[in-house]
Amino acid sequence: MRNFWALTRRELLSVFVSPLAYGTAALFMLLFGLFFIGQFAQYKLVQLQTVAEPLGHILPALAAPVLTMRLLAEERRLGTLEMLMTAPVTDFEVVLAKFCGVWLFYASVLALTFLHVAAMLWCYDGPVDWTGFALGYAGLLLIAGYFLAFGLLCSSFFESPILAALTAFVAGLFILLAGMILSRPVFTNPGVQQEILKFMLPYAHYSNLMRGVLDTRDLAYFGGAIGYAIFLATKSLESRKWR
Amino acid sequence: MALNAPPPAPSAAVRIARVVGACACLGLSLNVFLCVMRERFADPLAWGPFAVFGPLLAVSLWICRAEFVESFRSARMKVALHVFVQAALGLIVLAAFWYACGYRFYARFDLASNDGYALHEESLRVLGALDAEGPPVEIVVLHGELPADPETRAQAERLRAQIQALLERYEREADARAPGRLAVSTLRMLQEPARLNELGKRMGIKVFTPDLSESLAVLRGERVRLVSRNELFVRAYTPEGVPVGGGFHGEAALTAALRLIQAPQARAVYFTQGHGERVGGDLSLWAENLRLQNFEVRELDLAAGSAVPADAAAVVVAGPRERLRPEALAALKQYLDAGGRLLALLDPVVPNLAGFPREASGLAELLEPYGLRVRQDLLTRGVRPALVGDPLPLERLPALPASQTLPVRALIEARMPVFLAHPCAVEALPKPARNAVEALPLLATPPYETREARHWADPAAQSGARSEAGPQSLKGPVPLAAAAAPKGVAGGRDAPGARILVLAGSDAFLNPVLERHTGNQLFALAAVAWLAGAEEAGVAIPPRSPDVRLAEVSDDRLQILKAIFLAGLPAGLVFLGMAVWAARRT
Repeated sequence: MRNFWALTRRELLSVFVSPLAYGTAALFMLLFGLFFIGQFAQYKLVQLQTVAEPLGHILPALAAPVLTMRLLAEERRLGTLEMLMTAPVTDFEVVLAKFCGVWLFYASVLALTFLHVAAMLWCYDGPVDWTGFALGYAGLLLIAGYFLAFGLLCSSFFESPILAALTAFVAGLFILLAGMILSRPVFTNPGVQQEILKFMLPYAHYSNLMRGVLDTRDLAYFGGAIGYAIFLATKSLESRKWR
Repeated sequence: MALNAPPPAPSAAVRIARVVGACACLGLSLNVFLCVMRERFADPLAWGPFAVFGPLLAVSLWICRAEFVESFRSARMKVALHVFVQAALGLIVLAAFWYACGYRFYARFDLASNDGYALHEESLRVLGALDAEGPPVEIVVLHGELPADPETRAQAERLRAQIQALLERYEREADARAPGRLAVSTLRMLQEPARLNELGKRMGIKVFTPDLSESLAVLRGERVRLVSRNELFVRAYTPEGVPVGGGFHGEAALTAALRLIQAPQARAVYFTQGHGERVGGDLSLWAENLRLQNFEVRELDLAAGSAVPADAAAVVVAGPRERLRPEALAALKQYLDAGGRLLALLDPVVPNLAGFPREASGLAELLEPYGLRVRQDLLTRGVRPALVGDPLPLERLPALPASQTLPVRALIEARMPVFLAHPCAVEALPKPARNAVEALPLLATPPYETREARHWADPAAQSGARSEAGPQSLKGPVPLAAAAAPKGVAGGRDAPGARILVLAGSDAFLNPVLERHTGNQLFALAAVAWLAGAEEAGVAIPPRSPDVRLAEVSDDRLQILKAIFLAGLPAGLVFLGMAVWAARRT
């Protein structure tokens, strides 16, 4: 566990000293701010769902490829992965630490959106639905973890960070589009396939949390998906030893 | 074998085996995909491809086995296979985990501030009481073509999404409380004509009109209850008719429908016969619509001195041409004294004109103590100005809601009038003779003179000669429908006691009129539903009000927020990134 924390701290620091991460965060905040101002000025609703739900799952799909593309692919390309592997740490610890590092960075960027919440409360005088906000942020964090884990997996497959980012981006886009199409009321025939597809796509689970519904199925979905992506990334890393 | 030596060329048999193996792999994958998409695993035909491709793949692998064992490539393939198998095993574990946590064992907590995503206790009670015996309940959502207009289309899509979310909740809770007793399905009316025909046969509907889109058909065996779009989404209007939003009453409507469909018997509506009343054929469309609301329509002959049956949800006297016999009037009086429900459709008495009653029905004396004064001696007329010459008589008069009470709520929501061809008049007296009863005006003509027309009621005997209101005439608005009920019922309370609704014209509910005027259809159903008390069945479940917490955003504050979030914050992060970059360079 000590190794894990050391590795996580290292990863977190490496992200915090990367100008690219700051650029991504700046773009994230600009887009979030644009959407926030548009929604808040129009609806004036003091709830996270209105100002964050539509963008909250698109932004991590766009940001995750950029944030994760270098995590394993760059190390592999520069040959630093071998050095890391000689250290007394397991592959799983390496992958998990990299994931946690980048997830914590994303969380710290997301924490900046507390300013937006503060701005809403600045213009509002009544009772606040804190549970709604808490569950909304949990949803934002979980969907970000989902896309970051997927980006990390793509990064473990390639030596080129660009290729890894491109793959993660295309896959993320596909997941987003499929989720949007399937969430349309046109697709309401309760066929088994559609039920399975709906369950496998993140939008419905994320949407539940944003609405203030805590469902163990959603937590199981995100936990399982993130865990499986980390497991696959670990196996992908391990496979280097066998070749 | 030297490591640098090129691998030996594969034999022809191995090459063929590779191709066949690849094809077999492809075929197997395709078959698995098709089986999943079509849910055909239980179909014996689905196993045919497995039986063919499986042995082919096995033989191919057997022929190519030397490649796997000896060559350098085989080592990489084994690694790949190893990873693949581990990934597949991981996937199986994930699928099992998701199945267990996502399907079998789960908990759901609605922490939204308005409890908007959980069912009401009443709905849960009704779902828990779904009968274990008899046919299960089916709910079919009817989907028609979405409107082309973007705004209306968006509204329809929102309604669909609300219905879908609501039904998911019903399905989930029914699964937990009464497994297998509730099935929900969607029927796309345009794309699935065969299913539509089958449903039409079960429901007794020959033609599904587009306005049935977004309706719910609740079926249990031969029992049917159609929950219309207007019941699911109820619009709210100011007294002036300006829309002020609306609410999704889906849970109340659906729970009421489930409760009705679970009742041991369908509610019976009796139509009196024997006094020249309108016969079934003329009113068949109304009767059919009543059947779709889980009512059973029966005939009742009170001439023999028999009483109104105890199972009567309402009694309808539809346009009698003769005076009701004393024994029939006595039976109706007894029925009303015991808290009965009566719908009277009465026409003006015009002895000189064919098609009109030649004598009053005799119900006036029965209804007067309840505060309802039937004026069968009047004939309500309307004319509209002509470009040249005398004003033209109106073929049908519009009757507009005169109150906000329950029976006319459907009309107010739909913003539609009821049309009558030759009505008389019905007044609601302010102080009925009977205690604890109130009389309410329901429908009236527009004011005497509007830009479009003039309306008034003449003494019927003179109707052939007059074209304007005379000294004995009743100027508009002429009251055309009124109701009497125990005090408080108009406000939505379900108090015991007689309920009476009188409409000043029986032609309003005839087949051709119902086909042409939706307002008449709505009123015909709403009137019986109100009398039978069906409207109150789901009233205990209020619509979920949206969680609205509005902030006050002044322009000044908005400018400050824009400056912070669109310039300050992103620029600060960019500056920080540049500082980090500069620090790293130095």
